[in-house]
Amino acid sequence: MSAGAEAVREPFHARLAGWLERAFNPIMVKELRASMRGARFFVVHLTILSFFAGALLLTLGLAMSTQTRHGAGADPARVGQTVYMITQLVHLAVVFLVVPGLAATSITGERESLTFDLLLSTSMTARQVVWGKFTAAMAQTVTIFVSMVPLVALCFLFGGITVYQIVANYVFLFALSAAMVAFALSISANSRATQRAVGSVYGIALLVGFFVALAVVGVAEREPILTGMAEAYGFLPAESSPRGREITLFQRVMYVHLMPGFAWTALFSVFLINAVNRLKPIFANRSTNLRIYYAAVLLAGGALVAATFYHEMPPDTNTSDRSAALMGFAIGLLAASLASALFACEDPVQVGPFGIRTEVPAGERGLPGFLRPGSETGAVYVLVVNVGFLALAFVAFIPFSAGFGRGAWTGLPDVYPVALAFVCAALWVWFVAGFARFLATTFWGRPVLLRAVLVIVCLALAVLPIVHWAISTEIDRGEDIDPEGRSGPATLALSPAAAVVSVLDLATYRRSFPLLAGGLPIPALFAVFALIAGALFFGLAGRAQSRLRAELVREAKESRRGENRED
Amino acid sequence: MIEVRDLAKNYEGSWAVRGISFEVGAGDIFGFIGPNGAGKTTSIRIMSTLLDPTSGTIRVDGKCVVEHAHEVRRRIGYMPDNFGVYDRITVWEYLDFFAASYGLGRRERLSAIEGIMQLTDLTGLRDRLTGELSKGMRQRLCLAKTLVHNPKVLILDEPANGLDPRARIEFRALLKELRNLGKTIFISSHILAELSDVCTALAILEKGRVVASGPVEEIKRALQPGLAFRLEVLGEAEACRGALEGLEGVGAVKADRSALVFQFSGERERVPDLVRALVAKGVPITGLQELKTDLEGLFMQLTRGDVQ
Repeated sequence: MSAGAEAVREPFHARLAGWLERAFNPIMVKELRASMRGARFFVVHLTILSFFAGALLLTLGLAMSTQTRHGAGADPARVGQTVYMITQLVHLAVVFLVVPGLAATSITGERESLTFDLLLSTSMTARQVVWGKFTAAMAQTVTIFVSMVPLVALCFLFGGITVYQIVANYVFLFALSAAMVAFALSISANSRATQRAVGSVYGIALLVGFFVALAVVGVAEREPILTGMAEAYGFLPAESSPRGREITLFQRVMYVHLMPGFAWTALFSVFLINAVNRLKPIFANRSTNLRIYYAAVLLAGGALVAATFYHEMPPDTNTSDRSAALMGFAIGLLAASLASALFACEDPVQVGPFGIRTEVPAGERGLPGFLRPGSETGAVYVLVVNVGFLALAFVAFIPFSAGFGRGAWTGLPDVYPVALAFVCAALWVWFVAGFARFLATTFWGRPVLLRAVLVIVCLALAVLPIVHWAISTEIDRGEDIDPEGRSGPATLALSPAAAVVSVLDLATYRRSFPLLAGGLPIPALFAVFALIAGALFFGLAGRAQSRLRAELVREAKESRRGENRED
Repeated sequence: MIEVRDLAKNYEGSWAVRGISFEVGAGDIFGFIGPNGAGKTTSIRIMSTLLDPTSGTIRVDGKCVVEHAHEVRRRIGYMPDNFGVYDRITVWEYLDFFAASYGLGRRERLSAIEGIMQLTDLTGLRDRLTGELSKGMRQRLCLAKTLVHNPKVLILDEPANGLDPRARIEFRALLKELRNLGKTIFISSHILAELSDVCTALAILEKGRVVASGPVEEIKRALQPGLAFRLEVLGEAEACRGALEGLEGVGAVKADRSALVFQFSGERERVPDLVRALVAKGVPITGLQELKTDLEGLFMQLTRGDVQ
């Protein structure tokens, strides 16, 4: 090798960093270089490990003395299991208390130390920046967990723990850590100040931790599904469930693996998408990726629910149970479509870098046009995706409508109540899309306000009439005005939830929910209300949008004229 | 190399930049000058793909900063007015990070970093933590990171802000060296002395508008079509004023104690004739000096000191 080549030869640590960089990305290498340098990293590690070792030794001492008292009946495996339980709790504490802190400051820190602009002006994309931050935080998490492994291995001295348990538990912990890091990054990308980001991340992480603690209590209570999860994720040894309460293969696959996996993927993706969106330049499109995400989550979630229905609700299940389950599904869809209406809250006029866009460019027509930002395409998207999903769901749920032609629907086809409920849900989609679009034109430039108004008004429409009905039923109870429970107040006509439950109330004896409001069927009244109100809002939004465009064009012209005069 | 057309930026109702247009030629050192609040940093952030324009376009090397932000970023090196450093990494690691961020391979990075450290005189600081560097060194480090991917265009926002006089002189020398390397340099400043020696062209910005732009000499000629002289005489200058005003080509004359300042619309070759005529009229001349308009003079002539 030449002398010149020798002169630029890097030390080993730099070459190692280079290998890592090829595998990951420059931000990760830079973050690791910074975090591993100096005493802080090792002090933090040493503190965690010392605390862990102390807790472990204490537990070990207590467990061994307890077992020693049993004399010949002592079981060393019980000591191993107790010690292992402590290792899991410490690991969970690390996930909730240490891991979020690794990512919570990573983007706000760039803003505060004035390196953010330098970073964004490089040729790295927002996605690469977020991925670099994510992998850096995960690498530090892995380092912490790996340094704890020798202490965890102590459990093997006593038995009672399998290798599967430890591996499965680490996989679970890494998945949980990844979600926590993605969540912390998402909050960090949204915050201007580090203090606020850290406060929000820990506040929410502790809230989630509380629910995890509840789940642990659930395991203690021997809830079969939670016990199955604890077994699968390595918290409990296999076959911990009491005899006769084991879960079935379907339940294991669906509730222990698929549903938590779906929830993890959905949350992890939305956190990362949000973080990436926040780092994009102001003029970038933030809508398309979220629209694809919503459609994917809706379809995947729907498929899981349908699979559960098909497995858990055979055709001989009684009608009341099936109709109640369908009610729950329909109400879930109403909530999902309200959430999706936020896409119709985007700006009504696209004021891009080249002025006001008055028409859709050729390259954005068709499918890309359907996914491009703007309240106009947002409303179309909400209608197409939700109504398309409702149609698919209707076809999937037809087999569950056997025997539904009863009560108020006697003489009608079995599928009628399901179809009617889904039509009500589709009209709700029409209403929320129109209302959101109207608000987007009315409150243009005030995105938080318009979204808050949309959600509050729609929730009030859905819930308050039912509250009204419940109160009036309580007041009327003594007078026995409607002993059949068939009639309710006229306000029920405004509630999509009331319409859906009214249609699907197929109890064997007496209706739980009213069928009529003001003497007319609630679903019909709601359908008329949603149809007219939706059309009205779409019309008003269209007019407001045209006015807004004209106003903007006029303002631009006047501003140019004013500038010329000043010149 | 840079083409700005009708660029405007509105921040929630107030206009920071109001339809500015100018061009920067390849190899120019282009001064972007204006008082604080004139819209310099806003324009530069748009040029660096960090902000969106409300209207208008900027093209860098033929690429639109909005439509081809990624390609533009490869072509520019951006140094903001306020910047930080990553405290716990060394100078070499800092440059390596930015070189990698611009997609340079390992071997390319090694040679690029060595070259840039030599150019910016950072070689001796290779293993120093960036957090330990002085303000001047940090400034130099940021310039080094701006150059590390060998951009065609350097966009420097107040680069000499806060530097001591020696560092400023070194910085100007570095700019000239970079120009010799074929870089186009777009530099903003409100300290005119900093740019007067190095700029080949400039744009003067006030209240979000360009009041003048183009090569420095052209602007000078446009503002001051003829020559300007300071004539020193023995005794009261006012007494000689009449003799001067009557001569051909002599414009506005101002008396200043023992000197007369005047415009001369004739050719430079006719100046000796002018002197001879003055001597013939008995004006006791002790000296004649041509007045050159510097950037400061131009700036004061063109701007009214209004801030948005």
